[in-house]
Amino acid sequence: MKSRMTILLAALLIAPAALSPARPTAKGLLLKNGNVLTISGGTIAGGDILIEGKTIARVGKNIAPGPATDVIDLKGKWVMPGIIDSHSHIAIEGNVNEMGDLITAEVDVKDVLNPEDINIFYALTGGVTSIHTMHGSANPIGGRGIVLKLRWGGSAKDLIFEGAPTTSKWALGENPKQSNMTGPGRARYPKTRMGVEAAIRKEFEDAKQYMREWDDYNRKLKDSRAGKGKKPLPLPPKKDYRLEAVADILRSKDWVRCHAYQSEEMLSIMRLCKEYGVKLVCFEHGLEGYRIADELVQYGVAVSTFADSWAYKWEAFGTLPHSAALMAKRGVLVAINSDDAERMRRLFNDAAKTVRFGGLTELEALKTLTINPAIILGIEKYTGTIETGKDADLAVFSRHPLDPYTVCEMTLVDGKVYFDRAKYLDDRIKAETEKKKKEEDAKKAKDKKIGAEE
Amino acid sequence: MRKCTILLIGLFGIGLFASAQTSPKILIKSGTIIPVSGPILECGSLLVENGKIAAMGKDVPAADGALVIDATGLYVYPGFIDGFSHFGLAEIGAVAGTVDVREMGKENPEVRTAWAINPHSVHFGTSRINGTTAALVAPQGGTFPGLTALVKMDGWTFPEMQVKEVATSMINFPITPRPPAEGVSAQQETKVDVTSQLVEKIKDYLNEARRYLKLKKTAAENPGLRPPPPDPKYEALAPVLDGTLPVIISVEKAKDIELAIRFVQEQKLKAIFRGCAQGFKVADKIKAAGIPVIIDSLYVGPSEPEDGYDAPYRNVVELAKAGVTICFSSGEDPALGKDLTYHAAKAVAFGLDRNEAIKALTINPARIFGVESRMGTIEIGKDADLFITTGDPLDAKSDVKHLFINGRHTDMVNWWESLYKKWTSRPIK
Amino acid sequence: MPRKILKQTVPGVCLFLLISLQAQLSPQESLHRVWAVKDCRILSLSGPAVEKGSIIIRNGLIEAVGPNIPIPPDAEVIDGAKLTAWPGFTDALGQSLLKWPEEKFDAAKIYSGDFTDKDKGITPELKAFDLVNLGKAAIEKYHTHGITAAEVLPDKGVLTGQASFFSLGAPDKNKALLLKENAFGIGFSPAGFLVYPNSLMGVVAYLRQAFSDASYHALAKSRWQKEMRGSERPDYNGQQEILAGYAASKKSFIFLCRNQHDIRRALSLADDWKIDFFIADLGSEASLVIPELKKSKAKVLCTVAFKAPGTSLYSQLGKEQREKAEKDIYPKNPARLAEAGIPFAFSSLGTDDPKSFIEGIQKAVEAGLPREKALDALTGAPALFFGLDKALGTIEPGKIANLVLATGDPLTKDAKTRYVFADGQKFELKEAKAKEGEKPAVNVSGKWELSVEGGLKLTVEFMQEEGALSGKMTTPFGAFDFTGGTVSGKEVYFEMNITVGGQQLDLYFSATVEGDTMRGSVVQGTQGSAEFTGKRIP
Repeated sequence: MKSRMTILLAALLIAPAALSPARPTAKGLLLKNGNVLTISGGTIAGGDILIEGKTIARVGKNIAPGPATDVIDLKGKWVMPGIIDSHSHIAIEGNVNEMGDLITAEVDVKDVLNPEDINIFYALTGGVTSIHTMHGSANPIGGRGIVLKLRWGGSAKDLIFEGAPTTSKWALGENPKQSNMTGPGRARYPKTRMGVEAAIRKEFEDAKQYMREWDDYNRKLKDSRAGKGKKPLPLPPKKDYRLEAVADILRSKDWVRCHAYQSEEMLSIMRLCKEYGVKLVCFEHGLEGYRIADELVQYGVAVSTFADSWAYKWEAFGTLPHSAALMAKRGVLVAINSDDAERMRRLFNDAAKTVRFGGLTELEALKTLTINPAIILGIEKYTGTIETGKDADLAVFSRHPLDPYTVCEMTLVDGKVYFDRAKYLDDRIKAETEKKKKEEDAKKAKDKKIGAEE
Repeated sequence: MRKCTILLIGLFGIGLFASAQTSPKILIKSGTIIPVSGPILECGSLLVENGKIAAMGKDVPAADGALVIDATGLYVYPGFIDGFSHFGLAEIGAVAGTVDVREMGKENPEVRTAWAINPHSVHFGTSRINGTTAALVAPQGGTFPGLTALVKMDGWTFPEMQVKEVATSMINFPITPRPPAEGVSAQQETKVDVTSQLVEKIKDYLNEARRYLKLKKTAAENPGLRPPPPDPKYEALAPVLDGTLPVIISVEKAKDIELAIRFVQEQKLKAIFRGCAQGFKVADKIKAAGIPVIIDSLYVGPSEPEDGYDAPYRNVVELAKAGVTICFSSGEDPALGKDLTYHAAKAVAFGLDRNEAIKALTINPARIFGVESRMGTIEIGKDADLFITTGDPLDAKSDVKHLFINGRHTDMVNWWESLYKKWTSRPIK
Repeated sequence: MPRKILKQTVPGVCLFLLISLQAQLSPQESLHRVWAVKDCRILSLSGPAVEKGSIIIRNGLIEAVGPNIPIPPDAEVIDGAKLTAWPGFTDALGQSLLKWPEEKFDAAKIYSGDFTDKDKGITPELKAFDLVNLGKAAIEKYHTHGITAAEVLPDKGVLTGQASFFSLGAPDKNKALLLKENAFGIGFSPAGFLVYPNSLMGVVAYLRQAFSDASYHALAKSRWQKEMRGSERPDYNGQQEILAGYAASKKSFIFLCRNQHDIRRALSLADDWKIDFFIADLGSEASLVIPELKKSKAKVLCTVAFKAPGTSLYSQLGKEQREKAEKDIYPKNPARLAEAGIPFAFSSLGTDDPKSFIEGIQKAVEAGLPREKALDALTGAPALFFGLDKALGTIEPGKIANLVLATGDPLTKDAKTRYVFADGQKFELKEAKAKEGEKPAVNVSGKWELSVEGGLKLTVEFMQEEGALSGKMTTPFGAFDFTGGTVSGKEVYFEMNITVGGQQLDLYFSATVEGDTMRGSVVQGTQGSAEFTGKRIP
């Protein structure tokens, strides 16, 4: 789901190189006098956050700034850890789905990152600092995804979240079955849920065979080097990137993120993953996950879901906006995501819904946007809470983030301010005034010319 | 008091099996009442009788046999009116059999949505939980999509829900081509003004309708003359052309809005604009033309990049500031009907006066659709459409405890609630 | 079909190479193929300018050049007074000299899924030599703008095909050929059908696998050829043979990069495969990748259409920003590369007619590229890139006689070409009178191929009478007639009403015509619009 989003940046006439943050990187940055929602250590009213380089150096009250430290007075505004959207498709160039084949595990979103995607900026206006962007849900195994930090203005390399595990995107249900594709086209296997699982199993068996062939070859190579074994050397097996990628999944190297809706197909794939030793980390959407909450907890798989999207297709009908809370209350690790560029900007509004639908506390609601997705993505060492030693990924709001009238005012990634609403509005007013003046001048010149001609 | 409490519980019990409760008299007491038509009444009471508001004040005497609802610490609002929806016309978007939103062809001005609304659609039940008690249900697609209906969000049959079987007609104005989509290399834009050409076609169609009606009238007055063959499409346009039936015109860009204003004035139509994503650029013109605006779902980005990332919200604020009458709508996805209040909240967050927002959910849409004599505020004699909530209705965290439509207690149990009840009762393994 | 004289306007701002009109050039076959250009100004580009000198051309080569050269008695003399000579330009990469075979797309494929490799954009066997059309009309346009040689490549798809280098001196391609299949094209555009690869990431993965397969195939083949006993022989695979062949013989690969990100992808792939390569900078964003280009010692083929790619921020910021960038920023691309010392030549891809090509280069000069560097990128640099520096690029004895004789200086407004020598053949330019302003200014009668954004291809046959336009459009869903269109100035407009799957669609096409191409948009009722480009099909 891609929305068409375009935007006027802070300064209309600035070249791309200058699109970097509003504030220069001083040695340190002190955010003082805010309501700090640390997530891990309670809320500090009138609290301060000291940032050194890209790290949070101290969190507390009455922190004194150092000599080379910029100071921003938050004047009572609310600060939370930067929001982490663990299911997104932005910053990808070209089609988000490789629809040609069934299993396309070798396809990698890292090859097609587009750091110029304006949706990155949009996400920053909504307090998002990190995202997990990946292949769509057209194939049972779609390809590799990647975790990004929204360092807007940098190159593709600059966006990559170092240290984050690689992921593999799977999909079950109506999308890989292409049940809802209208228009002319060839029918593609599989057309049933059991077919989807059968396709994954077959690929696993093929990959295991491939791994055996390579093990065999490597053994023969070792033997011949050590002097044993027959000559000549056998030809190595042909390198197959697709089977290599599936082999990585079988070696538990990639963290599997599986798009699924129906409760029973989730149970079935959990069984399959256990059988093959695959690291199944999270179900995407999992709208019927509330039905198998205990099983999810027992298995140790998380769910990254919507606050309340539903009824757009049949498998999204048997659900309710309480599902996130229902799962969380029974111990499932739940994250709330957007899966949509426009929605990413208002994830904090979405989290508020779990308070009413299902009765999560405000802290639990905020966790679904911060520490929970961080754990699901394997980056909780670096981000997800406001603690000493973690990256300074922060979002500043005019009111409590779950307040209906809150607005995101500032977003920092790695201690740098990448979005500042006050400056944005300022620049806009300047640009509009300038444009008006230009138009008036042009009109005056035109009138004068006509006057002179008469 | 105890008797009333038992009565309450008993009635709620029956409520689980009925879509709505029949109770001729209901007394709501000790709540904060926001009538919208006047000042807020702290610790006030309301008497509902025969579907209407019978009495309101600080001390309303208890009536015999009245169901009493203690609203202490709670807030009472007039029911919200959703300005544009597809409730009852679509169940699951991907399943074509459940979708009756768009008829084939470009010109369907005679198609009556009212005949297709399914009162038992799951979306009525899930969408009214934030206080929506009435909605405009509309078709979509083509240039003349059809005739909308105004309905209450509850009823055993359509006639019971009906407020207006035909509320408005519709015209979809063309959209001036957008800038190139992402991922496509930018190419030259053409100089031919396709939008105006398309508007000319709309005018031609209306003129055809006028010609038909004139011929028909002439034939009626001159018995010797043969009338033209009956054409239901032109017939359906008759009340639009003489200004008695308002017509909703969907329009987006500033240039198109100006074009639409000229079009409306030229054609002498009674218009309501819908969308107006760039309305803030021509707000004064819209105000001067006296045309109200139905704000579409705010889950969108700006119409054009230059408008700014916050354009959809800023737009609402500027229109309201210029004095344009606005109302909110949940938009084209009936599954997101409850989000009506969230859109209003977003506009308030970016600068809309909160009282204006409440008006835009109540008396404004009532006026726009010509039903202000019976809906839109809590006043004696008006329909008893109201709800009782735990906090600010625009806050997602607030809980609507009671909803009344036509003076009947509406069952708040819906598809979601039934799933919730079932699955919270699963024993922990 | 009678020749029509096309009026082309000369906007005040634009610097043309010559004021023109339809050139009527004819190769003059001198009995002895010997000419002497006497007493002209010579910009040989191999040394300082010579104010007054002569050039002797014999048997296709430059025999002598300089001041005070004796004129051979058998030479036909051309008076070089008021004329300047400079080396003919080389288009370092183009495809407008190709005549693509007319193929009717079989819509049934969409249902059966039987897409061929060609449909997927995998056409390694496609050769420029087989498709090239060096007919009189085709090369005339090139000569008019001083272009006498071209590297020609089929540029569609993922494995696009094999390039050849021609000197534009004769309609016979066997005579015109200099280098056969000297480079291989790699593109990043998926065909868009529901077949692998159908996304950009699929294309990248596909390319990786294709190269891996090709080198594996070579290994298996050589293994079998060396030791047949006991070795399994590999299947024949044309694609792998071709790829492996190019890599093994160190021939070049040309990466067709639509934006700066494609350039980075190309550099990464080239590094993995250790191949010789060029970067065809279709998006004019190479100047954003300078450090990486330097590190890889990349050679760039600069295009000059200067349109902001869709991925760029400017395209996403709206029309005003995009147009500003296309005016102020993208034309600076060649100047920036020159400043950074990145070697580059000019390619006509994106500006498919020679006039727009030269105009684009003018724009680059106006934007800051030193004129000498622009000249070098049209002469010496492409010669060096393709290993032809001993035969082309300057006016020196022994080199191929490709040169331009004109009034004024190269790449300036007041230059007017009088003669062109290509492969030592003389071509004389006759000016035709400009016709007075008439509207319409273009005639689109004939067959066109339209490419609509999103991958849809349509063929249109226009019939234009004065300003009235009618015709027939063939789509994958059937053929539809239309009338009532208009042509005024260069603007074309027509409407179509088609029925697809029971649904009626109204489509409104409007476009601006430039030469044999058009660009415009099609609006579908109230639903929105899509952009399209059109190319005349000869």
